[in-house]
Amino acid sequence: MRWSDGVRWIDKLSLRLRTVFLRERIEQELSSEFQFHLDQQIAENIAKGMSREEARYAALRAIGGISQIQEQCRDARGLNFFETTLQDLRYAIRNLRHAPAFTAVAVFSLALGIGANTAIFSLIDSFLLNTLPVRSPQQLFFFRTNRVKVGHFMVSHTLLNRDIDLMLQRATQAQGIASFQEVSRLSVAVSGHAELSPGEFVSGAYFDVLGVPAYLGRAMVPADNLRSANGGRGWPAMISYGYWQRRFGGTANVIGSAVDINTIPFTIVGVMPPAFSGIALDEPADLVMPMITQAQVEAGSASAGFPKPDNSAGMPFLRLKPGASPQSAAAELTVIFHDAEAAAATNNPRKDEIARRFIELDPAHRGTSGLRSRFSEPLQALMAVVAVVMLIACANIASLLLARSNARRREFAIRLSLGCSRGRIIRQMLTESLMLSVIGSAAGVIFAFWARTLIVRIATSGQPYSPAFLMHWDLRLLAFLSAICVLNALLFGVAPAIRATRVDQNEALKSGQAAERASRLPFGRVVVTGQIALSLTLVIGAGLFLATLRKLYQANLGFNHDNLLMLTLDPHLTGYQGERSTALLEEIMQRVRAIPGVKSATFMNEKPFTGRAYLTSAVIPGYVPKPGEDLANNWTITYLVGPRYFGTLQMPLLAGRDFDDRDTTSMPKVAILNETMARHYFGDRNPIGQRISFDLKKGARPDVEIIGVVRDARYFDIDEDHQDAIFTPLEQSASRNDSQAVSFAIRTAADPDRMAADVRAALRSIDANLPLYDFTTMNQQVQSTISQQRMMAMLSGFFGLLALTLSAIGLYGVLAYSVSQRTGEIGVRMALGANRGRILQMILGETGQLLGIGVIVGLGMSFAATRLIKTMLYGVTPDDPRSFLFGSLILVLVGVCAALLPARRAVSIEPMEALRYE
Amino acid sequence: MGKPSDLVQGTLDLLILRTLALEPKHGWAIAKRIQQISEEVLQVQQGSLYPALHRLEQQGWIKADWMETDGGRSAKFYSLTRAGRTQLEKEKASWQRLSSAIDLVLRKA
Repeated sequence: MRWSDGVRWIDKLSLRLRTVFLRERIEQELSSEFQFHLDQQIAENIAKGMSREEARYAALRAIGGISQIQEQCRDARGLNFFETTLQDLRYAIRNLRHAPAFTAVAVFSLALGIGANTAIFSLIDSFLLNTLPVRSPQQLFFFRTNRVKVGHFMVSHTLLNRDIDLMLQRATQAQGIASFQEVSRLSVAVSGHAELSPGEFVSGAYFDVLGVPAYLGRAMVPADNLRSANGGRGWPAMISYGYWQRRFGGTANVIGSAVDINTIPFTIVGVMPPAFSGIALDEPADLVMPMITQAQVEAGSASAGFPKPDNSAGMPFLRLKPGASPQSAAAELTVIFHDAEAAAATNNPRKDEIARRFIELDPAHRGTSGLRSRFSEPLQALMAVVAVVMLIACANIASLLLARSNARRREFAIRLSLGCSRGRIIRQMLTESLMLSVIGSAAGVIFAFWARTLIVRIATSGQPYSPAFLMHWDLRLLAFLSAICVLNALLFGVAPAIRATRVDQNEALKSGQAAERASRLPFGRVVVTGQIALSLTLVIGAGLFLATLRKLYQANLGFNHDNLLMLTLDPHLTGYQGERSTALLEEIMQRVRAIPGVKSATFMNEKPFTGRAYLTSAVIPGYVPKPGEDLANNWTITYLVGPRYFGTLQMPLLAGRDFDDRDTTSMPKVAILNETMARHYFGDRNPIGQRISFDLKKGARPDVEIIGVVRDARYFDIDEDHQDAIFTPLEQSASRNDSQAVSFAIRTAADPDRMAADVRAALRSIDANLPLYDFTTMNQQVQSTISQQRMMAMLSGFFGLLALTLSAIGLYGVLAYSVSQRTGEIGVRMALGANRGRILQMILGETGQLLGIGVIVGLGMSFAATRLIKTMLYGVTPDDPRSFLFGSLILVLVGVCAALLPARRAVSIEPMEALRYE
Repeated sequence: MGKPSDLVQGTLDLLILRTLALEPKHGWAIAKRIQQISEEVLQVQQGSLYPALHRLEQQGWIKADWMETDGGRSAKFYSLTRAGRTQLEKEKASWQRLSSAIDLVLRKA
């Protein structure tokens, strides 16, 4: 409807609507119009001198077939489009109802295919495509210092408050700068009742830079980050919409409510909008507090004071000015950073190294999520997998439809000879396909909801996650679903529809069988071969992922991870400081060791396999750096641990002794190195008795004695390489911080899960208010690091199985059809003396041919495809011969099983019956 | 005698539009008018006329109203819309181009 038509589209629209809604009136007008014409003709004829009767007949003859003309008028009005569509739909429903088995199989495979695709796409949608619900998210960037290699990790040194303060003053490329710091556990007391919640500390301009308004009350403003913000009723805080609903029942008078966060008093000033719960998506913030309160809240004491210039600034981000480039902003911030550091740290031993750091920008429009970075690759791989499953399902339905339409050839031939257009029949068949696809999609959506929830649960290991990751119906998802629904219908519907209507009417009317027999369904054969090839690729892929998972489970971690109960405790949250805190740890150790079934126990600042680590720079006197080694930038993973750490974890000591109760604050400082670190710094020399230091200042006295060397272990991931690690007693650590949580490892004689209750009771008997959390076993902890690989193995295995089943059905269908088509031929062969073995050979030969070509093509495809998942594998190569061999064997086995039934039918054909068959 | 099928494709539309250019007419009158002006050469069959009228109406080039005839009967009168008038000019021009081209070929080839 172009304007150039000179017809206002609105007029056209009203005409169309009239056509649709005023049917009866139009019908009536149509017949009066024709009646009028007829009457005029009769009048003319009478005027010519005919009798009334003659005039009438002549007029009717002249006008021809009135109903045909009226039909053409309806067509001209577009009336028939709706009529025909309705007709087609009714016809489709009737057809599907008459073939319940076909419909069930088709809808079921479509539902699985479409459901799987929808589930994976909706995950991609919310994990990879969604942007933060903030103003112009594309302008937002995180900034940080460049990443440097530490051990096997790339780390970025945190920016300090003094850096950010100077940037706020001088940066010209940014509209605004803000920062935040997430905190996993806050003890939040509402009217005396405390619960644990995650939260975020935010700088003053946070909400302004993001452009997020308050849902209720007010958003935080810069004034909230001043000391004066602590009014008579405590510091201001905001809560998330979800927390407001959960904890406060969504009542409006929550504004002004008092809460104690780690014993520090706060007043709720606002509620955040429902879709927003902070920038860190993995840990949705229930509470948002001004950054100025961070030290006090973390220490659980007002005496902790306020942030200092050399404290970490958290995670800073900025909003670029329109027209400014990320590069220019990074360059400017680097200059400001160097100025800030040069002014502040003239005698910093790392001065030269700091001068080499520079600022980099990362897009922030999707927020931060470790979950996302871990699952983006698997999700993309899975999307490809489910697309292939969909293709296989479509191929099956196409074969089924084709077989069905072959049965209907005679019907089509009759309709074609009666003058029905070919387009009309194709349209009718496509309506049927679309109908199937729509029903399949509806069922698929239900399956998708279920599958998605399951996948997210596997991915997050049951941890809470941001509302951003929930399934929500957005335009992208709806567009995807409708596109896939129509695409499916076309994929499986078009080919059968075109082929079915390409009939030689005479041949088909004479015999529905003869015409088809010549071609012996080459289309169906090609489709089945393709299915076999595709499913072989999926099966081999699944085999590789399963092998990866097996290798991960079998990997030697360097310590005994069975029968280890882990838990974490935050003594400072309930006010334990200094001496009291040390005494508490000792008492806990005594009580826990006394529990029957506990063999040993120890504690540490950080558990292995959490993804976090404390880093220090150890100075080893006399060590000559290797070429290219930069000692100033040399960070080592450091574990601050309790007595009997190695004995409890069963990390074998290669030399020296374990830490024990002797190693207290008042005793000489000691450390234990792992094998790799000992070899790194001491080569073949014996490190025991050597002294090192954690003080980088020139001339600092090495005061830490090495008392042991321990076997290497894995500390972060099962598939990491060996790296330096150093262990020192928690009590002797200068950086020991009262506000840090302490984790316990308890070696049990039996199932550690069953000991949890006893341990909990023992700790409660010391202090009923101790905040205990993260009761878990070491095995669970380790497994949480391979959730990605577990998910891939489970899902690819599931989809591989699905593909295999669908292909088996496809193969069965083609063979069964072939046998039924060749019944007569087989009968003749048998009558001429072929024995049953010969017939069996014939059918199996056909199967072997299909399988053989399918497997060869599939192996080639797998060879190309598995290269793409190389980075996701561990312990197996992408061309792992075992996976390829097993995959092919499984496929051949399933194929032969699918062939058995048709083969049996062929063999049991009675020649006499077969000859009478046609 | 020219049968409607002899009409060059699309010319019926042009004839209808031209016939309606003067005043609104009902279907019968349109057919009669074309027959009369063409000195009985062009006979418009109802089987082509009415579908064409409905199609033109659907395209917005003509519109239909129920009005009284001289004989006092109610009939469906078609009249040209503004868009129809533009369309008529366009089709007239293209027809003239075509017919003079054919004429040229016939005379000179």
